[in-house]
Amino acid sequence: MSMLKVENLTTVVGSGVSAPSVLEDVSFTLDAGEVLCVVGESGSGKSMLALTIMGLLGFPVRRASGRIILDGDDITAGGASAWRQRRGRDLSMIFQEPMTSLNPIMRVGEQIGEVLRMRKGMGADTARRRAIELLERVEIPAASSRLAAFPHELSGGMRQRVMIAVALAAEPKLLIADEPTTALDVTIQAQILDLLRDIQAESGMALMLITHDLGVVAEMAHKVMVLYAGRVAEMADVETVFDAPSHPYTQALLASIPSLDSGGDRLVTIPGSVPGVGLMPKGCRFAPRCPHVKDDCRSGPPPLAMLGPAQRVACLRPFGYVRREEGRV
Amino acid sequence: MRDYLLRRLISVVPVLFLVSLMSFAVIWIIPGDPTAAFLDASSTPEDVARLREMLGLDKPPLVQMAEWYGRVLTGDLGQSILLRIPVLSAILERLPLTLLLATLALILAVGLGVAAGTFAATRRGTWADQSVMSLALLGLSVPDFWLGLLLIVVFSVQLGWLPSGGYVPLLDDPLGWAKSMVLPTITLAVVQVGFIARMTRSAMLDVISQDFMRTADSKGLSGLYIILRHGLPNAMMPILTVTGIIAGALLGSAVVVEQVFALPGVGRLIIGGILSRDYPIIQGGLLFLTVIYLLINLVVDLLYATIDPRVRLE
Amino acid sequence: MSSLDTNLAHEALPERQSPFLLFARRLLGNRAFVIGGSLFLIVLVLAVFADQIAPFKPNANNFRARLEAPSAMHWFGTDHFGRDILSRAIHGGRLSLFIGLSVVLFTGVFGTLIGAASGYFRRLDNILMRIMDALMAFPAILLAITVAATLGASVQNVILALGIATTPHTARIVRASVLVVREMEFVEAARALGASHMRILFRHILANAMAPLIVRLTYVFASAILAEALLSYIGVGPPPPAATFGGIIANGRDFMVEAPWVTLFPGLIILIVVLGLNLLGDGLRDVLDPRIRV
Repeated sequence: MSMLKVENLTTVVGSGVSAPSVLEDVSFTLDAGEVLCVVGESGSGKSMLALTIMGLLGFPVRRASGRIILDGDDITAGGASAWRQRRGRDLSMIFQEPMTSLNPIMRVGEQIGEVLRMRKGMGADTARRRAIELLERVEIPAASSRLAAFPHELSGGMRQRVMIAVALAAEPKLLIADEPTTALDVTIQAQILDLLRDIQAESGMALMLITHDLGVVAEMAHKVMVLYAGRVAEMADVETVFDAPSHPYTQALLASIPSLDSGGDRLVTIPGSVPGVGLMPKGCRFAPRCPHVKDDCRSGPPPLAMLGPAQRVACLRPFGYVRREEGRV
Repeated sequence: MRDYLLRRLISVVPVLFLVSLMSFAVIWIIPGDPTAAFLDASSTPEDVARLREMLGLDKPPLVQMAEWYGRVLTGDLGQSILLRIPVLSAILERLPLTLLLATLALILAVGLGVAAGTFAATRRGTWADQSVMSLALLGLSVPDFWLGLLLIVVFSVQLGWLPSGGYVPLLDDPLGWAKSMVLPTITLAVVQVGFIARMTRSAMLDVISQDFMRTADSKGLSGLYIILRHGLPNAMMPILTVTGIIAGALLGSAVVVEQVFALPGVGRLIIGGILSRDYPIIQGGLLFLTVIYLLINLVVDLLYATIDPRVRLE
Repeated sequence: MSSLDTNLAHEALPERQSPFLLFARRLLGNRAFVIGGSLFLIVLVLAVFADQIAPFKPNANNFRARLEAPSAMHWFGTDHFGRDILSRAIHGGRLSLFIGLSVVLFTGVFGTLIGAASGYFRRLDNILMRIMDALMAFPAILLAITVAATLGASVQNVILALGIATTPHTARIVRASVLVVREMEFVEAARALGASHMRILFRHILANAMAPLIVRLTYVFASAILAEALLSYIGVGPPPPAATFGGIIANGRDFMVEAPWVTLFPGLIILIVVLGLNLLGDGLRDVLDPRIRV
């Protein structure tokens, strides 16, 4: 059974039936022990997906419909307070900015400890010992002396390790990491990713990793979900995505990776940008930027169709398919 | 932390120097002869000379200044012309009441103001927010002495619940003491509640929008705990700043409220001194209240450093 | 159709609208500004046309009509000399607004000069700011009372006293803006192009200090009116028989039980004026720069 099952999730800005959506009809599953990478440009709805699942959307953004089933229970069913009970216990999250995501005037030991005490019911001493273990687990040297440190006394990488320790404190079933390495130095990035992968493998939790870095995807993912303008463009195994990308957007993303052998060529970019919220085209949202666009692409949203056992694509003319057809004509 | 304390203490010295200089200079600003107010047609030249000698006016200004500093440093603020007792003892006798009044009002103002501002911030844009903030604005627009008079009319004259003025010593009659402090405290606090509520609201709104508040939310902590444990301490800096300023304003307004409620505090002493041109009292009283105000702000700065470890590094 | 088109035209060409019009439109859309402005305007009109509007002469005694309750003839009642409270309050408002405006001018000019000099010329900064610190160390009301009392009760001295009490804070606000702006690139550019200190200071830097200064001065106006009332209540304000808010209230204090209106109405008017000015300040702050804290 899936650890996380998201069904027809739609998130909108504002109230009313015509409120523009930032996420539309997103469905996917994620098993325990699995890593799902969510990729897309900025504005694709990646972070909104994370916040929606966490129940952390702030006014005026709200979940309009859809279910989020975690370990068999629909966490949307019990309302905001039941959802809050889940956070920090069944699901937790690591944010993009380690510089600002920790409380600047609270010692890091307390920031970890409060989860242990308030959410796991530990006493002060147990919580303290557990916090040291957690800091050791995220490979912070001299862990016991770091409990009394304030965030500003730690480097960015160290702070992100503390964030991971906070997120792990209650041993969640699902961990969402929203671009956890974007704000860090390249050398630190690899360390943090390694750490995340190790912890994920040993704890068996499900990990949803949001990134725009396809290198990270290749390194970490079991499954990949490509979001474009709030809709799922393509979802597949990591091998399939890299070997046989079938949505024109996925292809464009892959083509835009600079490689060493591309020499002095210009970097490949995708012309145009993600349409703004409320300015979405009627049909396929990628149509205005798509090199293969045809008239029928503009008539309605393309369904997310099975293309193989491990691949679903929301395109009327998925890549491999199109070529065969054109070859026949 | 000790270095920080030391640096702050040292930085107060020049301000203290200037403040005492200004207190001293009061006597020089006055147009005409400062002794004129105390003398009449029957005064002999000997009277004038004696008064000038008493005020130290017979010496050159620089010598006077040096003597003033010398006396202030040894705790001698001179002799009141009218009361005919040392200024220091006149002040010390009345100081407890003024400090008590200001402290009670400060506690009330900070408690109520922070609660109201936090409440409004967490309900931003709702009718509850707007009502609380309208009340706060009304509070800081009220002339306090007038409010005091209205309270006397309603609660003393009409309802007869509370005394209209006068001070009852705590040890003589605790209930009477409490009753005698209620109206002055409220009068003194109302304006400041408004200021603190407004400042707290805007500081809390800044904090609520920050990333670490979302982190706290992602931990599944309760809303009230997040506001009290993560939000409020981070909003404390601007709130403390206002509190420091307000402590000064309270000392000033206490002067007026003591007048309205006929309380024998330093404020009334100073106003009496001003109206009767009793310069030693004015100089001493001003210097005293100002030094207290400086001390309060020093404490505020130290609280900063306690709350926010980053301050100590600056 | 036409309305849609005009809307689109506005969308497409925002630069067509003059900044002043845009600013005025945003101000008029701000509820605090509109309410505060209206309250203040009403009182301002009453003050300017006091002689025409006030039903009686402010100092006209009428011993047959002492301490009369509010009536059709005396809307706000009369005091112990039989003087019409409404008329006295209107004239008191005129004096109060005059003093408030003068204090605003005083603190505006001196606060700007001191703040600008302190922020721009590093060498002056320390000494000027220490003096301001020392002035700010005196509780403002106490400073004002002392200055007004030692100089003697008169309108000019009240203005001077309140001006001195409000200038240090204003200077600090101007200095803070100047410190921020002086490091910006366009100022560097102006300096590189050989602009004089004075030109840079007035043309480039002070223009950017305007927003916080205007907001601050609105609040200064409000607190000057409160403080003036207080000074005249204590008896160090403009000397009698001038009608002042504080003076009327002080007179009414002795008759609070039998004639509460003498105290009540002038206080209410102070409340309305000050509330209006504070709302005005809030509105200006919201529109000019919501980050300003005064």
